[in-house]
Amino acid sequence: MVWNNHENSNMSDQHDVSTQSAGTVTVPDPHRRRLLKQLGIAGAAGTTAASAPAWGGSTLLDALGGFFQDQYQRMSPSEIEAALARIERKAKRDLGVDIHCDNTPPQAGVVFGYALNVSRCRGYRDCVQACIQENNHGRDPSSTAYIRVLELDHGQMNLEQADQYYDPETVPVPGKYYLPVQCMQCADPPCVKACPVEATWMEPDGIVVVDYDWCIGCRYCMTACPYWARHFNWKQPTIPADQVNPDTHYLGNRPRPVGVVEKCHFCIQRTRKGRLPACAEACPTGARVFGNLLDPHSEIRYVLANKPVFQLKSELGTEPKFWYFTD
Amino acid sequence: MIRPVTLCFPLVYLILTMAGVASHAADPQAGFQGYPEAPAFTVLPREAPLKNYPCMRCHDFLKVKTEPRQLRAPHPELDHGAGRFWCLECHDPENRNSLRTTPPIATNSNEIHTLCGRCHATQERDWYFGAHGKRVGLWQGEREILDCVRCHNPHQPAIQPRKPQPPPAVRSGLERPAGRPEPVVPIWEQAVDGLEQPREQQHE
Amino acid sequence: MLIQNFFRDGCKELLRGGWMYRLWVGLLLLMIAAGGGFYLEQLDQGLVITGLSDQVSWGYYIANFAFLVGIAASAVLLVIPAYIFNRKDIEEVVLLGEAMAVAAVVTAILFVVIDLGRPDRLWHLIPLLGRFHFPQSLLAWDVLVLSGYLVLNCAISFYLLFCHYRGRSPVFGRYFPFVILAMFWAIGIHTVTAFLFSANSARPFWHGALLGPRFIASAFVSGPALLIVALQIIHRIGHLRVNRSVIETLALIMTVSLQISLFFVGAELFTDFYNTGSQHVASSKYLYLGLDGFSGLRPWIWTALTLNGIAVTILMIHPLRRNLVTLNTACLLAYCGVWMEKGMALVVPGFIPTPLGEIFEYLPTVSEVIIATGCWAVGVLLFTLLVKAGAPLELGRLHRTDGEQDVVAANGPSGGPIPTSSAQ
Ligand code: SF4
Ligand code: SF4
Repeated sequence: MVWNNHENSNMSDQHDVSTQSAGTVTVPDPHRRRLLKQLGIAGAAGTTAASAPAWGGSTLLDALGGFFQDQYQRMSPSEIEAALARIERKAKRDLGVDIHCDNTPPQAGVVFGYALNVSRCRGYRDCVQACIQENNHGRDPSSTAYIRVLELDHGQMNLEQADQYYDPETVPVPGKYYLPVQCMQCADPPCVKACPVEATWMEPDGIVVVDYDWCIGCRYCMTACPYWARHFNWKQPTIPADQVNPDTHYLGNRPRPVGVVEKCHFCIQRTRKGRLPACAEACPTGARVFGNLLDPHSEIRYVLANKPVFQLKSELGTEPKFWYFTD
Repeated sequence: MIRPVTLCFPLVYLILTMAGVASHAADPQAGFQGYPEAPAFTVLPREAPLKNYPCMRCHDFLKVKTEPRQLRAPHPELDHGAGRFWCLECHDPENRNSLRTTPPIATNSNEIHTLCGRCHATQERDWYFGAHGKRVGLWQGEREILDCVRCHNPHQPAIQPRKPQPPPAVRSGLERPAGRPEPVVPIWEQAVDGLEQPREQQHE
Repeated sequence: MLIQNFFRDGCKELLRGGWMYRLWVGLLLLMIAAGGGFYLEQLDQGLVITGLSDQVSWGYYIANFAFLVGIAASAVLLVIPAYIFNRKDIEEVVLLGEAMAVAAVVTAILFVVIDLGRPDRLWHLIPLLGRFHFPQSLLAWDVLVLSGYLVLNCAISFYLLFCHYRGRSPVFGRYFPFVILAMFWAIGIHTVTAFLFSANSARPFWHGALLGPRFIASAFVSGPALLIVALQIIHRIGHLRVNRSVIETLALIMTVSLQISLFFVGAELFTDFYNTGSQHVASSKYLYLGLDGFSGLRPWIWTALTLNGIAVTILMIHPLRRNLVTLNTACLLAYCGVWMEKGMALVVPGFIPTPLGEIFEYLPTVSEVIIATGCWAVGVLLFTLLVKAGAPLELGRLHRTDGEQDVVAANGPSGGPIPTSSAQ
């Protein structure tokens, strides 16, 4: 198992010397940093004019700071602080809401896993709705919903026959079953391999995250993901002020800019603080089991050991950390 | 006189054997003791107020009738066990305030599962270990799980069909084409037609 | 400074020209302006102005990108005979191939840039400054090989032209190693671009070993087709004398490549359709036959195959291939056929159905097509300018001048019918 490596990694200085999923360690390069600073000064005049549309009317300083912001794993603690403050200011400016954006690090000895009981899922989509609210998706209506519940005929496992847009008077429809699909947090994620700028990577707790401030929007990761789990912000998502969830995380549910990719992050803003993901909390049938894969006494480990489980498209070798099981 | 607990001994023993924890049932007389190796938990009991409680307000004066009959208000409709059940399957005939294996219902005891588990032993076991039922709040630390009756109305335990939340949107500015793909004729129905027209759909 | 003069003279050359030239450049500039205008809107609104969706997340832009990389790679078809087989006739025009490569790579890169959601963050791709995910990401590979190819071709052309300008003959040892490198690099850029697609096990339509060879084969059709027509035009306009033998060699290469390319298509069709159960088949079925009543690309691919079929028939009949009119027709047909087949008909079906089995069709919007046309205009303009400035240098008409002395046109225009000489 790939993620066992991370048990020993020192979480406290995670952001001084960033730890990557592959186990490589990048030490911030002082020379590069100096170069960036100089560029920042030299580029100040040049970027002023162009900044207005791309950064949505932010103040010049924030725009510049955002432009030259480094990749999350390479930022120093103070740089991260500055970035978080910028995010909060931008939310205030754009959405008119005071949000709190934090940076809770992963817990040592934790790798998240998810199991979903197919025989319990009844296709209510409560998880979808909870996710949209928790994760500050655009409400206009946005196509970025992370969870897609597929409706399939009994006796079918061919996803080409699935329908994710079912909308009957009542569910479950007789003769159908339901298969919710979201990011599988693959242990060998093809999306991470695909990204040309390392804007997406696997955190030590197994969550595959996106740095929305680093992604260039090439959408190659969307092409690489076998689960259609990645969604693109084709336009600036809008959220009414009263619907914004103010508890946000840098790698999680903070308001996203236009032109970047996003995906399910197991509610990183909640789960790193010990809470259950919003979808697990919302599921009225208890079909969703979430927990720490490294804890042999966790519910998820019980499911894996005692239930018939399967992974979607496991033949592709992506090693999903999301299992389906039946009673 | 044979005590009821003695009667259910073979059942409990069977359950425990099935669950592979027979060794823990050292004292069969003690009855079902839970699954010691299951992670510790606290049960969040029912929240909704009980409408007719205490039962004995009326049933103190009424004769115990053991044969099933049409239930009338204020009793809830009973749809549990596909017609095999009658109130006294669960309610204590002597003291209706209590269930057969639990203290009085209104004390919000966390033992309702011992009653449900008498029939639904597999579900109960899964519930102990977290594969059935629902944990709330935290995935970490104290394990708080919901009582059986938080999700299942004991008188109509099946979860009712209802309207789903709205379907996902496609990208703004784009329309999803109307119509659905042709429904696939299942293999068993093809077989009925004598498999005259071989279909292209296959199992993956 | 000699180099300064070189560029100054080159630029001066660009400013001269008849009304046809001015009209042509003006037209291209107009197209670029239109594309630029719509691109500004895309910058402002986001990619929502395109027809792309989460379902089909790459479309017309990337289709043109894939096609253009093929054009760039096929410059090697002039380089190999010129430098390896010492074909003097081809060596005379090899710089045209280089110019085409440069223009095509620039346009290809441009297509990737306009496809980005955040072009303002392009600097994240710069190694060290940004975070270049090499060697894991195939897209990083592509960025690397494309920019490398651009640099190589610019450097070689510059060196050769500058030598002409100085009136010296180029030192073989100085440029030949780079020519060899560029040769392999050319195959490399297109292979990497094919791998960019075929690396995705999530997309069964692309996920096969045949995609690389198919890309190369079809590139060796579209490249020569373009070159054959361009060479004739350049010859007629009178910039450069083009020998008939060059055209014939290219036509032959094109014939063989088109045959191979069609054979590959046939091989794919067999594998897809013999076993109805393969995953691959859903996309192919959508493309060739239509799936569940959706068949947006069916007319497209059949048109492409028909064009290619007619082209290959013309090319295989010797008298027709030798006749310039029919040859040009075949080139036009094959060029369009490959553009359709390797562009939209390759990129889009990879997304239909989605990995979750949804069929959601894609149609480029008008803005998207105008932006793409603007990019094409950039490429064509670049090629025009490179040829305009390069040809006189190559011919020695434009060379080092002393002091204030003006540039003198030494040779008369070539023009007239293309001279036939002993080919092969
Ligand atoms: S499911 Fe898709 S987005 Fe999620 S980790 Fe796997 S490849 Fe990446
Ligand atoms: S869209 Fe963003 S996260 Fe995805 S591959 Fe491109 S840069 Fe990386």
